[in-house]
Amino acid sequence: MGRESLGEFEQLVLLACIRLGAEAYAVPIIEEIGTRTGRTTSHAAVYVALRRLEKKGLVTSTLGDPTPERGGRAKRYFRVEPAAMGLLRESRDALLSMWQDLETMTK
Amino acid sequence: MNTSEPNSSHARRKPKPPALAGRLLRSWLPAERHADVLGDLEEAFRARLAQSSHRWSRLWYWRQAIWLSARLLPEHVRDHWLPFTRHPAASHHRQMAGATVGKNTMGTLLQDLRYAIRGLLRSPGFTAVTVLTLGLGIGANTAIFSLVNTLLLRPLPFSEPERLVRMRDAVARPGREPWLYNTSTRSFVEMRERAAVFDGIVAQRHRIFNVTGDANPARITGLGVSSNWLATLGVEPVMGRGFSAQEEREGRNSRVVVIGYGLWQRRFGGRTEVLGRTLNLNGAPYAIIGVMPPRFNFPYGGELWVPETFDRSSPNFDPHVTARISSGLTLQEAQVGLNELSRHLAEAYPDTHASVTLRAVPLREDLVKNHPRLGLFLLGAVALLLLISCANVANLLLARSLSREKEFATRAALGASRARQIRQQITESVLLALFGAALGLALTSGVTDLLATLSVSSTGSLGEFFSDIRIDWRVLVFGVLTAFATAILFGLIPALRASRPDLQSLLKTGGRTDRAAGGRSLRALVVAEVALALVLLTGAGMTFQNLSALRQRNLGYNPENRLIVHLAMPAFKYRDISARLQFVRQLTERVEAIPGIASTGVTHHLPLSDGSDTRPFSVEHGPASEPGNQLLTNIRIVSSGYLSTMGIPLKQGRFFTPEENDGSAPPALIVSEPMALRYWPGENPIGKRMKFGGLDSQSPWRTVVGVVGDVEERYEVEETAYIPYGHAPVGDLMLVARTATDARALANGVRSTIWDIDPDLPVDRVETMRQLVRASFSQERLGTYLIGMFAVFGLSIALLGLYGVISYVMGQRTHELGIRIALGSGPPGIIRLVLRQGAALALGGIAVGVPGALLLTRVMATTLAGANPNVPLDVRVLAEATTLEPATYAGLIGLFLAVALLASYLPARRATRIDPVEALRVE
Repeated sequence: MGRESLGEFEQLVLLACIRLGAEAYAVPIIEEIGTRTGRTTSHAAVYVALRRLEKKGLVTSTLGDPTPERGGRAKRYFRVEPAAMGLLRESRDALLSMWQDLETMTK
Repeated sequence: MNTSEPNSSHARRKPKPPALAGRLLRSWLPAERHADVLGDLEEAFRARLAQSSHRWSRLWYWRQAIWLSARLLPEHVRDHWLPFTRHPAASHHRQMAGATVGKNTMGTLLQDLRYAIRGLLRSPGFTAVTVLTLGLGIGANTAIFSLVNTLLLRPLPFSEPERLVRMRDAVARPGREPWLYNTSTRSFVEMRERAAVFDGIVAQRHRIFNVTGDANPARITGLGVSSNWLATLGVEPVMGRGFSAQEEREGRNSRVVVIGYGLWQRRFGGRTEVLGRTLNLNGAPYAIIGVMPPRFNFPYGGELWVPETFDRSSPNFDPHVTARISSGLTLQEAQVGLNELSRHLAEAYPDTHASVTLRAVPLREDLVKNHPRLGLFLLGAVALLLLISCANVANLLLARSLSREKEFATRAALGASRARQIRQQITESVLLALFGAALGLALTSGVTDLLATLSVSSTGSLGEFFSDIRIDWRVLVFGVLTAFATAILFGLIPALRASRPDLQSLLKTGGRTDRAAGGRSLRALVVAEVALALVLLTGAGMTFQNLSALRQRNLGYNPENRLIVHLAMPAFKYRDISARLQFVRQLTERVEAIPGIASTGVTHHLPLSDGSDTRPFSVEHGPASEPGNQLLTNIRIVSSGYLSTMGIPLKQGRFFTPEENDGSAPPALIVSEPMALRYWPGENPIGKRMKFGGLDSQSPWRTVVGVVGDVEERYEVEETAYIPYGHAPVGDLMLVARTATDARALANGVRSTIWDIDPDLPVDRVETMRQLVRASFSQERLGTYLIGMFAVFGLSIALLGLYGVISYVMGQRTHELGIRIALGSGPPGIIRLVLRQGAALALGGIAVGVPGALLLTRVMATTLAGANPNVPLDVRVLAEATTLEPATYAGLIGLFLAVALLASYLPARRATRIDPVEALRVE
């Protein structure tokens, strides 16, 4: 068994969750990714990623209270688990070390 | 004032996400995810609305919903549906217990599905042919089923329609089935007061209204209805209201009318202001108070309803009576109560009710009469067609699986279980069948108008309901079930065979095995196909034979160059008998004066028209009608020119004189030949006398002045008596004009001449007698052509199957044929060899098919003969279906054999071109 690693989109979703903190649910996650990376993301993609992360035990979710602007429906909030922090850090280190001394070449 | 309009201040609602998309998501999302996913989407939808248009936002929502379904559904199905329960807790337990059975099942199914789709896409030709064959087979079945569904299954547009019955006065006849009359007013009033078995009972009197005023004068069928009309039927108007108790009591004097949906659309353009407007009916203004739902033209195709009172003093007409059986009672229990009441009526009114039984007929049965016969017969034909399609597809699959044996063997060698292999093959079959069903349903939706022709006429009672053939959930379920049944039928044999390859020999020989067993299955299937096609062809032959007999039958009159005009003299204008007589005299004279018209006549009932007019009668010094034993004859009121204009031959005596026509001569009578033979056998009927009713009736004695040829009628009564118009000047008439040339060219001239005499007279239908005759068996014609078409399909499929099998077998025998050619066998020898094979298969099919066809003939003759005498012979082809003439039969078999040989000739030609060197090298 190889070590678990994160896909690029999973990293984006996890980072968005961390940035949003207690307010992390699907709609602001999509917005956060959109405003920071300029990417349009479908709800389906985010749900699939969150589901996968939840199955791996990297995020946990809880239902909030219903709000009127959602037609009286509850939000599902996601929280990033410590294990995910470790994996994110590893991904970042791996990328940075691979990039070392290459910055000028891709300019 | 419409009070149901919502308060307008609440009308400004916030735009909502598309409900259908939401429902789509809810239908498959696990319940615990409904709130957050739908909430997220709604929140984002609202945010989007602030930036872009409503339409774009909805579009965006739909895209998200579809994406979500596409990405999450497969996973969701695997986790929630397949392991026997959808409950998320169960799935959790399974995971805790480490059970992976469910997951594997779903995984396997998905894998099988993917594999099947890949396999089918790899051989597009095979897939196309199979789907097309199945599509035609299943499509023919769903199409005919949609007809049968409308006739027999789809609920009638009443609440609890199964409790509704049509009431009839069953009048006993000596030695025959009782004749079912409409209910008499007396029976109706008695039932309304005494019958405890009903929750409600309503009488409706057929009335023709001349509608004038705001548009062209029109003649519209309407009904005078008793109290409790809507309550008994269980129907609500779509707009406005029904009649109040007050209006019901006042009857006709209340001057209110409820109109049909179709009339509302046609005459008022569907405008809602129609309520309260007036409509001129027979010269009197009626206020419109309600509009009935679409397709509610019940009964008699009526489109106008006015209140009418029915009591003991009502004139003696026979209304259409519908009753609602009390809840909890069965039809039989209700009939027991009615029998009791019938006995009471017979004692109380011996003059009219001595031989009458009050009979309750389930409403649906009364409405569809014998129409379902044709539908069920066609359903039998299409079932055969589907079986042929199945056999053919099974053959294709079998041949394909034989060529895939190596693949199966390899899979088996790698550890695939037999069950798994069978499942894989069945998955493929089900997929093919479902594609076929989709194609079939699409075909069905294209032919619903055609099918409507086979249903009850749209102008009959509730006809608009029955001619509205549609694909509802029953048809869908039928289509899908048929697809699954077909898949099992055609998929099982190939699957079982393919899953049992002889691994060792197969792998050893590099793919070639002894395929004798496979070849045997192929041959057996093709023999079955040929046999089934022959049975279908026999059925088609029988119906064609009957149709041509129906076309060539002697009608008893000449339908060529006869123009028919339907007329109704408005009662308010022609109250006077002399006014009617004068109108008819003017009409016949002036129409006769039109160049191109040879003669004219009027009648109140044409042969082959709907309904019947029969009367009891008594013969002087002969048999007489008594209570409990009635002699019945058709009665036809005709002008002096009618019989000769129609071309009904005079056998004895003379036609009516103008004096008899005017009513100024003593009552005369012309009888049909069967009547003369039956009541004055061996005597000269001229000068004999008879009267309508019993011997003591008030009706005058009438003297027979002539005997004419028999005329074919729709109902069973064979005897017909003609009386001169002057003795019964009715207001509803048909004018018949014999023309020298094409009748249709003169239609406009006749119409304008009639309007010259009376500009207010509605002339709603002008047609030719030939059209009427053709229309009288249009259903038989269409039904016969359909069966013929199915038979041709079936035959083509069977021949394709034969061709395919011969080709396949020849392919297998390439080696042997090569040796034969190398040893000096010439092309004629090879062709003979192959043709012998084809002939053997065809003869095998014929040997099985002929007894099957004979059995079919027998079954049809016994089950279809003896039609209920109380219904018109609408579907005569089937009522008279008996046997196929031996010559026709021999011809059919000959034709069959010939095309079978042709189908095997093509592979034979190919076989002669085998290069022996090549053929031997294949080994």
